[in-house]
Amino acid sequence: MNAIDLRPGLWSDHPLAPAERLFRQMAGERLDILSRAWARLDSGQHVREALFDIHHIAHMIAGTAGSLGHARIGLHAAEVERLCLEEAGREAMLQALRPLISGLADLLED
Amino acid sequence: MRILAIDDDPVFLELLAGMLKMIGYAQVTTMPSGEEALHELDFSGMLYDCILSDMQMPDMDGAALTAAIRQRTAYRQTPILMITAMNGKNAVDDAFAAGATDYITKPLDIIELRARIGMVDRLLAERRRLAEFARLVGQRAAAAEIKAEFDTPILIPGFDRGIEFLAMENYLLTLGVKRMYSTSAFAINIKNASIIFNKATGATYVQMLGDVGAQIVDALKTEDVMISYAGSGNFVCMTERDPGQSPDDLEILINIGLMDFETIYAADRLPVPQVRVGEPARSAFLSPTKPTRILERAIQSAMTPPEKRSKNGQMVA
Repeated sequence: MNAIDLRPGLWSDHPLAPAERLFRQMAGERLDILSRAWARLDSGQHVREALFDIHHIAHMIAGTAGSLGHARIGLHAAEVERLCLEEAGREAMLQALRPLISGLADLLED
Repeated sequence: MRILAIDDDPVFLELLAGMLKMIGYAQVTTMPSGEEALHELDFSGMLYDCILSDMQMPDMDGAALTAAIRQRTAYRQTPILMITAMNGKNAVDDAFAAGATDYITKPLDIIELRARIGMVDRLLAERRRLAEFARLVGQRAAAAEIKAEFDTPILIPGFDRGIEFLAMENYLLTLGVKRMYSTSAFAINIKNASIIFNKATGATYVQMLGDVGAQIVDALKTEDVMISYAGSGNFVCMTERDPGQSPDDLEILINIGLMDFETIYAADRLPVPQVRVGEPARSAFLSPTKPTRILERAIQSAMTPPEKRSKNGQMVA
């Protein structure tokens, strides 16, 4: 119902278009935070801080991406958020982060 | 409706404002934190009708914000809706304990959002009606205590769409033959009216009639219907047009609308009013009778359970 096609140029006057534009604008910053957290997690350094950042970003993406036409990114973020809440192991988290990070990277190249 | 929305995610705030705009609510102010929201409430000079707050926020979470908002006199009763991730539903308990009214889940679903905000809208409309009612009651209190007679038709204070039953009868008498035959009447009976009448004060009973009247107006979705309260828990509606919905559908709509007030009635230890809608009554060409007879037949139908009515809406017994 909410997942409308909000690609650039389409529906530019749609009420959700400003939110979609902002989502894209913030994707770079969020990608940076997730990438740094991924590296910290992978190296085993500052794991708690890394998990906090991952949870925070995944929670925000999971709450908006699907509604803005980025269903796959939303699902990946929801999965990462779920793993954070369940305090899943490092390997599972690193694996779940990959598609989320690559989804955000694809969005930036779009 | 003026809405204040709080979330630490600017994307979510844009999304929420966009969705609210899509469903007809464009007066939305957004704030990125609980602290800034409280500052807005205290110093902006705006009085918000509804507050939507994210549950999970750094520093001050939704429950703490709700508790702080409830300490402000102007916002003791303002609907506060929590927004929470599906997996954070348990956390909403804290917000309810702090005074939240309801919650919405993330990701937002526009149908759910419409339903929840619609409920807030109806609640606010009811409060305005009650405030008006209280004002009218206050005006009359010095002169006479509100005394409702069960079987007496009354003009319900605050129910603007209602006309006096006598006026409705008089209107019928003024119709020419042609319009008389194109006019139909149907009634809505409050099945548990006598129970509520016996348990409630006069003012509360009249207030209940106003609630039912408001739900009838909402459910009819047309202004081409005259509505009157005929006493004994019966409303009568009269129209020259097809009401556009079956009695069963209308009955369901009204009863669903009344369920929104369940907590209000429960607080007074009263049952929620439940209605039955009767079949429409029309004047018969071949057996002309007194014009007001259609009102009596409409009421009779509404007071009769469907299984005791004949297929054409006439009484079996």
